[in-house]
Amino acid sequence: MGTTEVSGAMAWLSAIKRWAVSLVIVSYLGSLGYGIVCHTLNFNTASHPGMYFVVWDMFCGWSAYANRLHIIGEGEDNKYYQLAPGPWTEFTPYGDLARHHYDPFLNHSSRLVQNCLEHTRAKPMRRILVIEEYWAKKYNLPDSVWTHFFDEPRVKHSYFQVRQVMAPCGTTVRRFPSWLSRQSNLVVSAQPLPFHPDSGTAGVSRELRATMRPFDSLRSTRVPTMTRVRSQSMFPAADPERAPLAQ
Amino acid sequence: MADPTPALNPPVPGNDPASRPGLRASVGKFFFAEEVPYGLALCRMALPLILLYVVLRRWIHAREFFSSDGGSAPIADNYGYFNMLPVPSGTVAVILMTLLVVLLVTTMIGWRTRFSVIACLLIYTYLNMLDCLSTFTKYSVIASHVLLLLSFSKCGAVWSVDAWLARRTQPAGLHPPRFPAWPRRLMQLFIGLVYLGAAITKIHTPTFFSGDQLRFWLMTDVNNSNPMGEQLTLYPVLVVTMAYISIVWEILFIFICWRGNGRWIMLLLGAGFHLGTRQTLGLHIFPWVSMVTYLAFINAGDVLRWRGWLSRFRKPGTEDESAVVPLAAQWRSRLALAFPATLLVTAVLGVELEHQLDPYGLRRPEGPYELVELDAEVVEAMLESNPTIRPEDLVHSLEMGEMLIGGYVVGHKSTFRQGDRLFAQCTLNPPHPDLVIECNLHDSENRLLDRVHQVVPREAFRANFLYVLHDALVPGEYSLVVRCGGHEVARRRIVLQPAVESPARAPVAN
Repeated sequence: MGTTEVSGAMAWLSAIKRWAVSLVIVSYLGSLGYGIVCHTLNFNTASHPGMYFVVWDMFCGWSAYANRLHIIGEGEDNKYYQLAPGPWTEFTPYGDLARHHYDPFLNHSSRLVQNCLEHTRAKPMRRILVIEEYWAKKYNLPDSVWTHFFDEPRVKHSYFQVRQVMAPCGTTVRRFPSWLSRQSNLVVSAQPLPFHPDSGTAGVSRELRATMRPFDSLRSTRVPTMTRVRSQSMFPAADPERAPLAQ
Repeated sequence: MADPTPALNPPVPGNDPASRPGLRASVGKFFFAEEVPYGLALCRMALPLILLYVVLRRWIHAREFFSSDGGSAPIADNYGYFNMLPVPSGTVAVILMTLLVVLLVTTMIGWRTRFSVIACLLIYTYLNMLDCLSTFTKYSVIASHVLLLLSFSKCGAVWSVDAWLARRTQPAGLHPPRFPAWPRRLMQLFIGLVYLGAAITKIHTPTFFSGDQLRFWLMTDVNNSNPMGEQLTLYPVLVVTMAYISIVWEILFIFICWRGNGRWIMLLLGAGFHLGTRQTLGLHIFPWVSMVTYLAFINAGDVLRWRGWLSRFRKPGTEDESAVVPLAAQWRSRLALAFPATLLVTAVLGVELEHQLDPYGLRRPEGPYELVELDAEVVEAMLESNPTIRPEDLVHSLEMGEMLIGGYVVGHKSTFRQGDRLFAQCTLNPPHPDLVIECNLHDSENRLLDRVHQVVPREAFRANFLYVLHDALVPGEYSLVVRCGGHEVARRRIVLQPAVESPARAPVAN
């Protein structure tokens, strides 16, 4: 009797285990299948970080231009400093490029800058610039290939554009479209896109307002042109902020 | 009396519809057939070896990449889910990274396998998700999937310290244990679906099939060096052919990889494909992580066959299973404590070592590092406005050859004979506006002999020009000059040689 009960309980446990395993199998294959369907129909692929685990869009981006990011601090001593990579590291994750180059959307540049400023003997900063550099990928080709395409010697030419301006605290005060995106826009239209918010926008602090002001007149389709105006800085001097009216 | 006439079409075992198992039974057999988990044991040993290379390179940077004392870059931020995962302090990040190193080793040798694999899965995935700039990629996602499936399996039941200990604590169980195959089946389906997804990505990208996308990938230098890829840009027809083969293989993989010759053909093609991406695209880790999943296609029959081959080279009697010495009871209790003690000691040592190495240089005698000052002229050059693309940068290449195949010039050469046809192809860099491209023929003194122009709309990447080098052109040196927007953007020198004389015909008899 006891043996029968034990064997019955074992069979029952075995059935539950099999159902649980079946549930795991269905759930796992279902999540992979969901990713495939979303990817195929281009639906919800960026709705949640979890989608990165089930959408297999390797090497979906491509371009005829190579690009690099330069994160530069403009010190109050009118000198310029490299803020990425930090002076303590030469780590390159995948090839010979430093870590900050793998941030095409500039989602993390602020944190990288803060980390650099916190762990170095940094001078006080006036503003921080993220500048992108582009060049045609044909200049990456070795000479043996280049000579099949051109008789002229290779003279690499880079294009630069300010992508992001940050206050010393790391707050982003301006973002500009990438140079390549701007070129794509220019192909179809030379009309300027709407203005970015300017320093008069409500709710902007005094510090940020001073950082934004040099860029107020710029439209997003134009590259900011920096010229030295009186000060040693290449930026127009920020207007001295008026003292707020007495309340 | 029995009918001596033999029955026509006697039922063949297995082909009789009545004897065939139903769909449910087939699926049940596919997932739940019991087997010795040799394939997953190989995965368990191979994957940590690859991940150790990745993790050890980043260990000293744990504070910088994964902690609130550094510049962490959570992947969730890219999706708008800020603060989805807690960012640990610097010391905790170092402890986790150190534990990950130890746990990868214990996974590899199969010591406390189930715990090690689950801990690896949690720590590895968590830390990866905190650094999408330099750690989290598609290969780390694939590795997380493999660790997840290994955590469901009994991959430590063979070829492991656990198995060795089990033989010494339960000497009766000399035969390798058998378990349901479903974790291995899920891993096989997983890699098949990854390839299917990758194929869909390519189908979404029309320029993949024209070869343009691959050609520009081959000259991308964001990964490791890829000199073979750069050389391949000279052979676009080969690149297009490989593109078609790869997508056909990616789609077929999940259907053909299960048994027989199809399995080996698919796996060998896959290995060739992945090793090819190493050489042509500079991907070093991705191919190996992907190929680890191929080990899940190795079954017990393969292992038995290989053992048979190996036994030819082994002296008989060297393996005596009955000679297993049981482990003393005191050693069992010591070994039970050894695992947590190892984790504890290495975590403490890791924290101390990281402190001594001082990755930020804060405790150096000269103090923290100074910022690197940039040359003002360099910065000035960066701040200069570059409003438009130079005409010469609109042109990617100017190629000359003797024919067109698949829209590409082949038979590259710069020496032609009178009467030859010269195909010139001007490839453009997207994005470009609607253009008028001239491809002109100049003589050796740069006099314009012939002018041909073509409108190239913004969606086109190539402009083709055909010159028939007729007898009116005297042998000598010429140049093809491409002009764009009124500017000369490329020039190629060509040499024209006399036509090959045909054998003189015999005069017609008068």
